[in-house]
Amino acid sequence: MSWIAPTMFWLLLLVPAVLLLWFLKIRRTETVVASTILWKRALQDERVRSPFQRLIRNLLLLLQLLAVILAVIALARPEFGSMRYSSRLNLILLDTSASMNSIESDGRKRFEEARSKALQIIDDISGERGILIRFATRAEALTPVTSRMDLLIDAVRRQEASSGLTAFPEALELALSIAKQDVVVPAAVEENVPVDDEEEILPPQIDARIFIITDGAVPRWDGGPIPVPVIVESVGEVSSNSGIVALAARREFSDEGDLRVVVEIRNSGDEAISGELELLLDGEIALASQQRTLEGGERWTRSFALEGAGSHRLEARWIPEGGDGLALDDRAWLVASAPRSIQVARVGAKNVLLDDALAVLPSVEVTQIEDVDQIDPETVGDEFDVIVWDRVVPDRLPAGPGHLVIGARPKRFWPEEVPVVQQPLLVGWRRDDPALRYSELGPIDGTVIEARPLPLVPGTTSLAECREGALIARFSAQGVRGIVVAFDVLDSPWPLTPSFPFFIDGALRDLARIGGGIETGIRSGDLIEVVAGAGVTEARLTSPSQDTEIDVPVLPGGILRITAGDELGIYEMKWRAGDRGEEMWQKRSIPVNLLSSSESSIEPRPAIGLAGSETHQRDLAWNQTRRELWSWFLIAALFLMLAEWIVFHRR
Amino acid sequence: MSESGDVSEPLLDEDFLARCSRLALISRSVVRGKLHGEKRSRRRGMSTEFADHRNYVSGDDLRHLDWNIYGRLEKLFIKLFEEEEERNVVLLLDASGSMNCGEPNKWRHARQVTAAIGAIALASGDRVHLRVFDQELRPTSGSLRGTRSILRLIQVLDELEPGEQTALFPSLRAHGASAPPRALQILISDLMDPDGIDEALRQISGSRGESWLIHLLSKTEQDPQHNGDLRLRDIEDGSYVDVSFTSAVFEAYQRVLASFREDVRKACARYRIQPVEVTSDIPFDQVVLEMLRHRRLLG
Repeated sequence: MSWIAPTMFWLLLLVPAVLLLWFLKIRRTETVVASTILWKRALQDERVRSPFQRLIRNLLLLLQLLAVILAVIALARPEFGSMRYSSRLNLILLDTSASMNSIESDGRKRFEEARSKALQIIDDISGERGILIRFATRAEALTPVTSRMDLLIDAVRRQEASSGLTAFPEALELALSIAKQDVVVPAAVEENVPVDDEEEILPPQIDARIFIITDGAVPRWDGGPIPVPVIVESVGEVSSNSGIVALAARREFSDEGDLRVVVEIRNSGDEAISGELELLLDGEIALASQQRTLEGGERWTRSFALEGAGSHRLEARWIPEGGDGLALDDRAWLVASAPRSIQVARVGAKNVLLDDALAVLPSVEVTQIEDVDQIDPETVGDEFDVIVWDRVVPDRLPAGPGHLVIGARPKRFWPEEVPVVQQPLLVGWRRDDPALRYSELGPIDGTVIEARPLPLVPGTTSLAECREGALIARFSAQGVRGIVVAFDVLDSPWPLTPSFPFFIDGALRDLARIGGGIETGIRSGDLIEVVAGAGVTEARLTSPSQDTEIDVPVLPGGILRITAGDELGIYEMKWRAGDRGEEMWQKRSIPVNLLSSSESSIEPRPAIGLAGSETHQRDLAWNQTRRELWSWFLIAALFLMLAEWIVFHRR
Repeated sequence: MSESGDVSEPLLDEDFLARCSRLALISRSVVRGKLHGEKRSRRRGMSTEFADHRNYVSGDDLRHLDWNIYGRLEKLFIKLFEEEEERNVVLLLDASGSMNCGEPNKWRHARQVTAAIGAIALASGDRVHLRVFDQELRPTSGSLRGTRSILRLIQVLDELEPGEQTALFPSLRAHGASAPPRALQILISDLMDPDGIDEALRQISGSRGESWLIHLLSKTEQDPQHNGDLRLRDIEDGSYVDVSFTSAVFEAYQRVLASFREDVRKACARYRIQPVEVTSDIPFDQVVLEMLRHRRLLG
């Protein structure tokens, strides 16, 4: 037997209090009688006849003391059961997502309550085994499976709420995979004991349970039934919150390249919230703040036009009156930068129309390479972002740069010869693809003299297709990626239309992994990936507050990849090619935002969706599994009090 | 029937006194007084009621010779006549502290009963001796005779104050030494004496006359109504006993009380004393007019 609330034993000080009351109570009232002769004889007679009467009088005291002791034991919550000291595995899933930063009515962070509950659970499972898994943008086990509760406690105390989303399914999958590796095989039947033919041989059992400490703002679990008990520990009370759930920008099609910015704010609570929206350009207020009262559940979308074609840091601020439950979603950032030049190698015979198209594109530097053999597969990735193969393509495309193949067939993806089709009719094209976003492919509908439509094979997707196959397709496998045009553009009027340079521009920017100069940002915990280019040897990432600066590993092809931290704002990635003697750092800004309706909706949800799997509120499940005995002690105390009452009145 | 009444009221009212004139205490034995009275005496005397004959001896009054017998038998016999004498009634009133207790109060009730019996005795021509005692016999103030002494008796009783402790045996022994011979002795007491009652009652044994015992207890002594845990303090000696009143204690008390009364009855039988058990909630006139009459002690 063990005790859940042993501090209640201080109440045993009531025992001397009962004794004191008992002795105070028997201070007798004095009454004058004619004579005590008969009473003295009566008492003698009573003692002779009822020797247990004195015992009965003391029995009242005994019953009172026993009742008090039993009540104190009940308050100390004794528990009994072999489960406590079994080898059961307890998987504690701790929600550290952005919504756990909510400020509760007592001024504490919601996560502090979660941390307290995690520590309470760890205290309760003392003697068993446990593992702590936190989940925000990703799920990760913070401890090994251990029976050392101090490890779990240390891990819990180190945790803070992050600014990421909630990877709940990932966490549950991780927990289940750990639980399934921890199966318990039932003990073998003793040899001497005959086995009943009908006796079922028990399958291996999972002796585990999952504790989920969360505010319930988690995605639904659709991974099927959960074979272990799930105990949900719900935290949080506050539900009133408003915040920025979307921030986007694009450049206007104007000479000045003005910015069009769209901000969306949502009140996820039930009560109306008033606030001000501010837009800051490079730290200065760009537009006068706008006030707005949002009713419960209302969304407010606001569009702004900002002048300036250069690089800018844009910040949107929502300032609710009196603050709200979650401050993380009241700010959002994006970066509008002038796109850098794309290094393009054009391989193939002279093609006036293609060269003209490349020439008119801004921020594109083209290097003419006549012979395929001049391409060094090992170094071409360091020199060029994209290689344009015009009617010629090597058998093996080098990994690293993007490839735009025109009028040829990459044999790695389409090794077989493809039949020629005369004037193929266009069935459709992917208007939402970045390469075709601004292109109208009507000029190639039935106008291509002859083409070799490509069949779709693994690693390829069609961007524009006729009945016979893809006229324009993407391919990607093992680091080799590109876009192929399955006909010679000179066999069509396409190069003579504006659609063609738009296609070339979009394809080059897509393959070079350069957008339109607008960095809408990533979310906390996501990967920051920058294609710095060939020759980069050193890179660093500076946090928005510039408090920390960490080295970033440089991957082949000059790719810089690192996980964004918990701090929201604009991170600064800088790099240089030390081998080439570059002294100047090249920089790129990456905004990291929350921008999540689900995280902004901080209303606690006691029950979480587990696709039919049964969950328990913690108290219920706890009582069932821990076999608490307080109720029995309380009943015994009540019975003793009843017995004391009966004995007293029978006197 | 009248209640024991308010302490400010007289012990006996006029109605009761008027009824007393028609009553008399009935003795089952012949008593002797100093004066010729209304009661028969064992002494053969001067009255006209023939009692017996005896042989003539020298010196006898020749006027009492029965000449008719001499004529028939030629022997001399003297005629003997019953002599009527007055009767002595001794009222022994317990005035100890224990009598001044209980509800209704025993002290007033005892004085009322004493006064009533005394009034009846005086009205019927008896000589009444009032003897009061507590831890000793208080000084006597002489005897009373005649109806004119009734008010005097009531006044004396009314002015009596209760004493402290009880000493039945020495008090009654002192009384016995000076008691008129062959008197009717009536003891009014609760008999609450820690030294016992046997020797005390022997002092008023009926063998030398006739004795009655009015054994008076209060209602609270008969049926105590205490509750809880109490300290009972003795009004006489200040001693106390702690009692937790349970049903077992009440039952034990009733057993002890019954035993006490049985002891009294046995002692009364042993010493030829007529016992009358009375509780203070029974009005005194009911005690006198019904209970004594029912026991043929009053006629």
